[in-house]
Amino acid sequence: MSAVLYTKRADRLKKNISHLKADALPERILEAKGVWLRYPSGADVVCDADIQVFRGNITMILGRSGSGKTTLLRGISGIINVSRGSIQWNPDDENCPLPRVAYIPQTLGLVRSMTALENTLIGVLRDVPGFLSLCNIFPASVKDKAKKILTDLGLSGKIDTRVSRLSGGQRQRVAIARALIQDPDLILADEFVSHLDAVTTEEILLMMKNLAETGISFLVTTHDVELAQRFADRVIIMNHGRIVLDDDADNLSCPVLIGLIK
Amino acid sequence: MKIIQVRKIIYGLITALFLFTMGRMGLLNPVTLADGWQRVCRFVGYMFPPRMDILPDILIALLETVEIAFTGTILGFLFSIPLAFFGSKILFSPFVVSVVRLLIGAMRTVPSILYGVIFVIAFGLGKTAGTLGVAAYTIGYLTKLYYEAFEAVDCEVIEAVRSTGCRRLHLFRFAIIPESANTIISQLLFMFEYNIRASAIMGFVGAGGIGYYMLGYIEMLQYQHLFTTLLATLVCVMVIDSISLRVRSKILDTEKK
Repeated sequence: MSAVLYTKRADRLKKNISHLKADALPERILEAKGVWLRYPSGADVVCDADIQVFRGNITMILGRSGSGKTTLLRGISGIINVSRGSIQWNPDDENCPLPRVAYIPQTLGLVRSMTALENTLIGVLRDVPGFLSLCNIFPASVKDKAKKILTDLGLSGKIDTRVSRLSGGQRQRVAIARALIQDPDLILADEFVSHLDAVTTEEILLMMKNLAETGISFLVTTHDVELAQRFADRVIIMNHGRIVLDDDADNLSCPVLIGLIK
Repeated sequence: MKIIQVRKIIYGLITALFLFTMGRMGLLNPVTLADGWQRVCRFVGYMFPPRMDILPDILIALLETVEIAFTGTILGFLFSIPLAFFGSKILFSPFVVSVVRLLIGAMRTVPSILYGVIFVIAFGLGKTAGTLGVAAYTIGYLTKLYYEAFEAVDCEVIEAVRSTGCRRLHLFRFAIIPESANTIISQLLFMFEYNIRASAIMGFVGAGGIGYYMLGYIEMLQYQHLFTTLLATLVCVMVIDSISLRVRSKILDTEKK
């Protein structure tokens, strides 16, 4: 990962936490209070959820299939509306601008017929003048940034390769690149490594850990208790749409987590 | 009642209805069928041997037919893409979508030959009317096929691109069009194949192309000439179908990879 990218983010993190005492918790980037989420069918999928995400932390949401993890993530990303409760961004500093949030869905949401570079550039569409970007013309500086991120993520030889021809791990990296080019404060990732082999999973999560050290927060859903125990700073457990635990990962052991998920 | 019994009743009803309508169409009358078959044999006999001396004129008319189909298809395609954009539920409000779909539904109810008549009245005899007729018919069909293809795009791709905060047009350009590109091209080629046949009969109403010659030969009882025309049309349609099939299977292969 690029030293420049790290330094920039680390500086921002230091700035953000400079007013906190050494033993205090890092600044919160998100606080959700009493959040209820439902689908158009009318059934409540997430009930009365309280969560908080800390800056530069990896928070993993664990739970069985259908426990409401994905719905909670979609609610936080704004894809579905919160029916009750509130989501507050930067609750510790009301003057702080809204954080930039990037979302990576379970199947990554990459456009298969486009190259790794083109997929990465999708992340900056909001910031590039409409007409030029519609003609697929991006400023050289933006293109260079995208190429640099892809190179930093180990995809230097695959920049102009179609996503359909990339391996699972490489696609995962392209999705991360698309998120990173948005300069996000928070990355929401749904079942991020569930389709990958053990070695690639390890690589991707280590990369995530490194990025978290630069100040980016992660909120990730997963089924894998062991991975959560190893890589998460905080763990949230959901059961039947309710949050049954929200604690530091260090305070929890695998058997305890498995017991709570069941 | 058991499911098997219900099925038997349904099959029985469908068979009875089929036989009833066959009878109403005169297809169960052996005398009518025998007479008709005899006339068909006589008609086919009149067609031989085909007249090859008219082939240069026929080829020119056939080229005009292909021109009508090609220009009409592309023209229809150019209008159907933006219309499908506005008719897609994932991009616009139900009101806008309903208006577009109502318009497109109305366009689809008019047969292509009727469009030919309308445009002959508006623009006079000739290929201009034929081209516009084919284009109007193409708009009705391609728009429907395209907005359905747009709505079939993986919703996670849509959500991922939409979550970047981009504009609606960006979503269309960078997610929906690339993800449905294969369907777009495949349906366009299919429509072109279909329009070759549609253009062939446009001449029946004076809207240009080979149909004008066909109708003329039928009216003047020149069946040998008609057979040459039909043979030339058949060869042309087969060549275009096979090219289109190859291109489409190549597209599908790419999609699988």
